[in-house]
Amino acid sequence: MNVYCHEHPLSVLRQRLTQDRFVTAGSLRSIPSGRRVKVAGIMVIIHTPPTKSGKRVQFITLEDETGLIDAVAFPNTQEKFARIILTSEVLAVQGRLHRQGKMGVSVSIVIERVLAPWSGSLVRLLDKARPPL
Amino acid sequence: MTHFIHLEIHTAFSFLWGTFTPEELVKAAASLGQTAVAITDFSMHGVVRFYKSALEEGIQPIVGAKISLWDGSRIVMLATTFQGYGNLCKLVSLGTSRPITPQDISHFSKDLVCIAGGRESRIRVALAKGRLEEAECHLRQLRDVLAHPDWLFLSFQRHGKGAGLAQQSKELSLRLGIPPVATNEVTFLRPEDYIIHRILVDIQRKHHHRRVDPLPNESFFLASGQEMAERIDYHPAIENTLHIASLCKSFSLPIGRQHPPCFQAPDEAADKLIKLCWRELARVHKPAGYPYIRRLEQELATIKAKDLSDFFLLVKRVVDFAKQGEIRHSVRGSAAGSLVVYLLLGGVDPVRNDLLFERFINDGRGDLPDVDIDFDSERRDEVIEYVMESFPRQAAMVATIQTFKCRSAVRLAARALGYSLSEIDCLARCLPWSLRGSHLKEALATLPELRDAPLQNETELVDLADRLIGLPCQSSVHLGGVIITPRDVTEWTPVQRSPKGLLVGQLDKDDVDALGLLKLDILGLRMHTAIGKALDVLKSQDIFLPLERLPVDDEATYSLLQTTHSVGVFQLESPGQRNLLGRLQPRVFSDLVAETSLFRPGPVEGNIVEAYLKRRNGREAITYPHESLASILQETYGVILFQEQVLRIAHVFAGLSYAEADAFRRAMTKDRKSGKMEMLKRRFFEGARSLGHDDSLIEEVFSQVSAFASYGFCKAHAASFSNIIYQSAYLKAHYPQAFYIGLLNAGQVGSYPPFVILNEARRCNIPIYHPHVNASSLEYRAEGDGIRVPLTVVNGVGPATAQRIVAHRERYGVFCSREDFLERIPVPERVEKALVLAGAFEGLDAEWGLVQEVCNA
Repeated sequence: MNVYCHEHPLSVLRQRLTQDRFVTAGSLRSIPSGRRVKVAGIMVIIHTPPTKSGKRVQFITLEDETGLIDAVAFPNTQEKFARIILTSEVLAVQGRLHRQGKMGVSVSIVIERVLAPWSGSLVRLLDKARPPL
Repeated sequence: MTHFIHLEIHTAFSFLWGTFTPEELVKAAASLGQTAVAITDFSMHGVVRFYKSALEEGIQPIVGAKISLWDGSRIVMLATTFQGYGNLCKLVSLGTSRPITPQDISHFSKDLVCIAGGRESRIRVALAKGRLEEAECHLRQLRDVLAHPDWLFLSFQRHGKGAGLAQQSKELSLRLGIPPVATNEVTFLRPEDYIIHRILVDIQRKHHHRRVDPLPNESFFLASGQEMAERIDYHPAIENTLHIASLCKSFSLPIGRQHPPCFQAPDEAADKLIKLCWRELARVHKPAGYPYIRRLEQELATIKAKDLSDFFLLVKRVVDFAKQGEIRHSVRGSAAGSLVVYLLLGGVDPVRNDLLFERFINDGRGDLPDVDIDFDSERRDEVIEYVMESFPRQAAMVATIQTFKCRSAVRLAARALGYSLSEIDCLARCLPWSLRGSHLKEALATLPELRDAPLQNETELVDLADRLIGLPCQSSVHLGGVIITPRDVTEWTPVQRSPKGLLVGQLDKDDVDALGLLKLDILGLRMHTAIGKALDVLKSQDIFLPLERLPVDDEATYSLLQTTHSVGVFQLESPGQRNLLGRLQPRVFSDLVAETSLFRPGPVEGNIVEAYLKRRNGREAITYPHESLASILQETYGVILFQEQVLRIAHVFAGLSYAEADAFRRAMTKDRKSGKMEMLKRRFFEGARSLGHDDSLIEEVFSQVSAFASYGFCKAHAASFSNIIYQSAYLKAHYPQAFYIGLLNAGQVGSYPPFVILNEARRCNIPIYHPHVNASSLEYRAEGDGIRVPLTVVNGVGPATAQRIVAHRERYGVFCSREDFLERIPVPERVEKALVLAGAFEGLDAEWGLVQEVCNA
């Protein structure tokens, strides 16, 4: 199915993610700017606009059950993680929170590293989250 | 040096056959010292750019095409005049649907030189078999129908080691008195490019499954005159290439001039337009204020002086059709800055929003103005069909040329080289769709995700793909461009029917510009579709929202935007725009105009955004280079943001006319190095000095203007888009359920896939109901306060199955159980499983069965 009719798949993973100290999109606006955070979400878009310097910046939008997460991967991060960023259905990242604008309403995360155990194919992650029989 | 001219040449516009662009051809021919060069593709897509680049290179362009005849052979035809070009267009048009008949040739061969007897022609086959009479018969037949029998030439070619058919050809030529001409069917520029031709043909064979053979060897290249003379040891054949070139000498394409169609006498059209506009002004503004009256007088005078009334009436006719059919539409681009456009076509009020007419039309612009109109995507075809039907012989769609992009080049080259599909998937993984100006090899060396890619070990494939990237590979229909020509369209371009049944020309948008033809851009905007569908939902709930007439000061709308929760809102939903929304905190309509203009690569990289935000939020003083500029730059806190401001500065500060000011702006955005720029800079300084400004101030203003000019955005366009932004944001703020349903039913509207839109709706506390055989329809629909997902989202349930389910339900009643459903709508087991998983039968056996029992009792 190309839409999620019942619930967001990330809610299925949430309990385990919370145990692993991941935070949700919705809670980012209550965390101070500059703090290091871990988030995970479904990959929505990767946008690489042309830059004058020629350096590639990846603007990544993820989505969890509470909302959108905007993240940026600069060239140094891409060096190590570009492949997993480009091939994952679900991406989990750790990075610095960056809040701007009135009351810090504009939120983005500068990615420092991609957390491989929580990234990759959605089906695999859902299987992993299922409690053992 | 032997003088020789190639008269039979296939460029890459003989798609998946020729290996070079017309521009490369012209350069190569010039470097061989040839004074003229021809283009003779199977289509005429490359003709205009070939013609332009030959003129630039200073060599004579000979325009022609390959025509397929009734007997299966192909002849080369070359135009000697523009009328001949028109005949060629007609022959190529006819040839797209059937072979050309002798009658066609007799009707349309005036002013065309004909070269017959090339490779694979009947004549050559007969010669090879020693049947001279048969060859003679074919040639006579052709000569009898040509308008200029003495312009029929017999092609002499030699590929490979043997003497070829030189002797037989010579005999035939002498016997019939048909002059010989040497050709080489040039398909690649250098012998070593033969491999590219082979790959292209293999793509045709393996990917498109066409039965076609490549050329037999590498001799079909752009040989020098010397080499041609050595290959064809028959002097008249070499000599005649020059003779044919001189026959084609007087041919020219009328580029650089305007060729608008004319439907009525200029005065008559002007009168009509004037009456229409005044009547409309009186209707919209009661009473019309002085600024409107003065502005309308000025605009109408300019339009009349430039003879554009007919054009405006034409556009109005198209838009009136849309209005009658209630097809949502809006004007984009600089045209939105005109009061005449506002009165005729609707949109934002240019006087209230302080938009400049002169950015749209001024005395300095010789070209036809662009009026681009966005229509509801789903209904745009109706508008296009209307235009086509209204101008039956004069209208055709603009073509676009697709070129090999990075990923497609690798995939297709791999296919040609015989890799399996799974190997190809593996090789192309992580490859970008297209590269911005860099080479594939460079990408492989620099992009980190490709570091360990299997493609790294495929040097041959990479090398070939790299050479394919950028080559034209097919033509298709431009999404909304329609040309309307004076007289018959086939005098300008060959046409053929698209699969949708529309006439499509072989000119792309640059060719249309070069030929000065009138082009209407009838574009599709999915947001119009989404808004229309949202309003439909509201109508079904008895809410009739006059979206066009809403005041643009609704607090809830701006509050929504300030929270940055703008997913789904036109233009403001991308990550970057959401970020900017949080920092800009829009409060009024003009903030939306600024927001649209700020979020462009220029301002973002040039730190204009920072400067603008600091000044706006009072963290930096607002200063102006000179007080005379304050009134112009006030609206943007002293920062130059709009192209209109550049025009006004040049006009007010340097006393340039708007025509000069616009030329100045364009020179600064496009071609800063040109001599024109120097000249305009001098004019700027002289003008400013004569207004009493001193040199240091002029220098400062000039440097500011020139630094910002390239970033500037057209305010009229931004204002027109902001109108749609406001409408969509208003809907989201007040009627989220209808808004989301509209978006979901309009296909992918903006940046986000439907699943995100649906999740957003869920997060707005709108209940989402899963697909159900008894409740879902073909589209997302309102169910109470919630949204019911359609059956088509279930894997395997296509529109046809969904339609069957809904129709059956409507006709024979609800489904009582899963068994009942399967009996009535037999579906494959996997579809049944998918329906079960989606919950489409939920509650059926229990509750619906119960209901049934109760009903039966």
